[in-house]
Amino acid sequence: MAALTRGTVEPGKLFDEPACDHNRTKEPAARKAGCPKPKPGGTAGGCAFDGSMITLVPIADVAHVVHGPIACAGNSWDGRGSLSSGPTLYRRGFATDIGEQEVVFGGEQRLYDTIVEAARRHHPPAVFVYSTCVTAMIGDDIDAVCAAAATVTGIPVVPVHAPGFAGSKNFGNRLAGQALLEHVIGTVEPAFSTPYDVNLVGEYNIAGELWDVAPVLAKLGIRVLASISGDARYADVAAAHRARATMVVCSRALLSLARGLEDRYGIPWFEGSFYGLRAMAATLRGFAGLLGGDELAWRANELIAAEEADVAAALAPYRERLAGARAVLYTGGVKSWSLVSALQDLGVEVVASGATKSTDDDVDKIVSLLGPDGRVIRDGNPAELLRLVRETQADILIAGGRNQYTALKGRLPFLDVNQERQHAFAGYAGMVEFARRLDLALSSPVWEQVRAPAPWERPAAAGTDGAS
Amino acid sequence: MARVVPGATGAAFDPLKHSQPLGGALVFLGLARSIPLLHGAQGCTAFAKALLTRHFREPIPLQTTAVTEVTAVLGASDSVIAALDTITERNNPDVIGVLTTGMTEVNGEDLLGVLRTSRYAPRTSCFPAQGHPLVVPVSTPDFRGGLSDGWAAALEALVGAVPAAGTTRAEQLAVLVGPSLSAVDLDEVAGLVRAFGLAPVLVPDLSGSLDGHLDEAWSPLTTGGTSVADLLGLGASGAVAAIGATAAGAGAVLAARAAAPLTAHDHLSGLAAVDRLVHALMDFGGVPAPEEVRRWRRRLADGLMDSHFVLGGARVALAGEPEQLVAVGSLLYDAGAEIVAAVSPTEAAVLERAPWDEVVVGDFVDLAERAAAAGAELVVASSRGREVANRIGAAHLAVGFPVYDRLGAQLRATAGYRGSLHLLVDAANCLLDYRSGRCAGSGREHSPTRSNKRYEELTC
Repeated sequence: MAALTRGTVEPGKLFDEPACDHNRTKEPAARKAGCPKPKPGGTAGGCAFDGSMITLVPIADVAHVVHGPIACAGNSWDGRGSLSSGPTLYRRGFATDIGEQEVVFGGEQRLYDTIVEAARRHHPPAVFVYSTCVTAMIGDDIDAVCAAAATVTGIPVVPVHAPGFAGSKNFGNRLAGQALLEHVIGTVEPAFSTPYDVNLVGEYNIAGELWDVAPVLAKLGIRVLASISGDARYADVAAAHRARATMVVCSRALLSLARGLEDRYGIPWFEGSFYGLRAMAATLRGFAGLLGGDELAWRANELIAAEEADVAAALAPYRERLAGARAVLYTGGVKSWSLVSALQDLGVEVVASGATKSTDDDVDKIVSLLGPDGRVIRDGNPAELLRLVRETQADILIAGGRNQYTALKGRLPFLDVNQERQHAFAGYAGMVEFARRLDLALSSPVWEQVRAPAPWERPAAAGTDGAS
Repeated sequence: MARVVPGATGAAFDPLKHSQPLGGALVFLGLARSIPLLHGAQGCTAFAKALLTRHFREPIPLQTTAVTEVTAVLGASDSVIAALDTITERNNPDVIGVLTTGMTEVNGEDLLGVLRTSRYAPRTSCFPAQGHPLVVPVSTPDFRGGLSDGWAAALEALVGAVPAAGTTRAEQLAVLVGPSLSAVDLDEVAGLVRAFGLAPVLVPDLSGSLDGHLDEAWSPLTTGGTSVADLLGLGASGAVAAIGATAAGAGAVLAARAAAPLTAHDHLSGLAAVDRLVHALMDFGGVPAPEEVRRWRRRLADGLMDSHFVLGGARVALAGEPEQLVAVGSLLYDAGAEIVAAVSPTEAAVLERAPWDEVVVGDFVDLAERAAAAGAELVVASSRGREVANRIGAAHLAVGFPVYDRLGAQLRATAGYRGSLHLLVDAANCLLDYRSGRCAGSGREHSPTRSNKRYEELTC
């Protein structure tokens, strides 16, 4: 492993995550084995390279160079909904697109040329370089190429060692966090600091969610110094070491980054979510708790009360329409319970919730929220989800884009709450949007039509009397 | 005859190219009760699946052998067998296409050898039978060629697995197709063949699987496409047609195996191109062209004249897979358009047969630079070309793969008399919108420095 993934990270350490419940509860021998291995022929989900790109590509002013054959970048560039309020360089695709020549003789020269050309064309503040399975296997010394390219371009060139076969998407998130700790964070000083500067870790500004949350934080005087990495700029991420608190947003995988920030720079952290009223309240109190002071805590409570009052008025009509609807929720991690509470706040009955990427702690919360009849979904393959929907007589499936067409082929309303979602559901404004989208999905006129039998499936007598 | 020249960046900036395994997977997605299996890391499958899902707006059956760094080094052949076992046990497919990736080609594994000594060894006699899918291995390294090469390799491997037949069904026409035909194009081709009294067997047939249809229930396998029975009966075909340059190699293989005559067509866009096929069908069928075919030819001829006022002299920039590039480019060229930039992701023999001067093998940066320099008014490319069109202030006609910012990619007609006419009309209307009040002043000489804002919604 060390030979393939290289870099300054000690591989053994990457599986040692004291902040991870999964890890804490395992026997020492099992812990060394790390996360479970994927099952050939029965696996869904991305690789470590995918995970590293998810975490880092939203840094909007950086040129992200993929060193590998065309599959890795060609199938994925500009594929995610992370939005930027300024630079768009992150949406461009830079690939070394190595061929047989490089597989045999090495791809280092081609990588060097690509980095230099990307820097020459676009003048980014930094270039990130991602290794892939093939370039890890042929043994290209990516660290050396990055160092040489940094010298000639005069900008940081950051190697990210997360070839796909190193593990799952989550593991790639973590390797990306490690690259930030090793090469980026602490290299730039912020223009100014405040006692209320914070980092968000694992918030990718999908559909512009950050823009619904940051203004709420600003009402408490809290400034998002570094968002890692939604709508981020390189210099802000590099200055993350000056923050006074870190929030890990719905991400088990990036706990290691938060812990690294604590170990190296003494920045305290907490886990939270922006989904739903209860989660938002906990988040605002969480920041207040870490940033200190009774005054901030008092203001946080005032703000929560005011925002909840505003939102209650906007939600009232939806609460009426959504009351009694039954939902199957299939998502991972913190969202598996924070969205349950958000749905319950709207009067929706959650009859089952997924827990494939959740910790024991998350599952406990799900169970206590769902009550004795609620089901915890352990195996989320499409057939299983549809069976569960039938059994529980659910009205809607709320899940990730991967299951969108599962639901539609089952003629079932669907709402996307994962990374491909088109609508922002975070914060108080997001809660109203969430209610609106739920209502639109459930009340759409299409369901009755597509569930109706075709003429040749109806009894012969019907349809012969002229009027419909 | 076009010159084929390399692009400027030497790498791939804003890549146009897609990998071989993706093209290979598409072929297996056009077979019924089938699932492609990518032999690589789980990301190889996840990325391909995500992109295919965005394009087709359908669930995409696609699995992975989930090679890890340990199995990559120590040998990943056990992963292939384990994956085949799991898929067979859970889903009982008729066909599994096993496609290698960059990683599993670098480690030098003998996939064919592994399969030959397994219970998945080719035994066409007993297919389809419970627990015995037809397993077709294809070598598709990511670091060589692209989508079209993967398509061609998979199609050749597929027809290579077809047994020679003792008998011939004279009326059966094997129609091997390339990747540029949409679902409605495939319907058009099949209808054309039937109109001459022939029975077409389309391979692959994405019009049956990924056309976007609502079945009884969700399925982990493809819910339509060429059946295994039809596939294994290809050897009895009375004649073979290769529609699309990408299918030419497989066409030659099958024609030899079936000892049947072959008619090969680079594409079916434009009057002359369709005429050639109709000629061949008249020969094979031994019947005159039916009225329905004649009527659509008359309409296309009329449409060419109507649209030449709009398309004549129009500066068009194209990007796409080789076969598609030549198909769309030829049609517009035949209506009088000027092809000012044409970019292909990979080299292919068909590119030299493009009727205009030059084809660049490159990426979207090559397209943007050349299109801007030539003052292109219309960019015909996948959804990824939209950004280029916006940047240079041109209209965008979404054709190719992937198309994810518009609905109905499978309804985009490009082939046959009828499909050619639809594409001509779509392109002309796109230009008319561009030149109309929706973008003031754009009917005059083009200036690449104009604000992009005004054109942002102008996608056809």
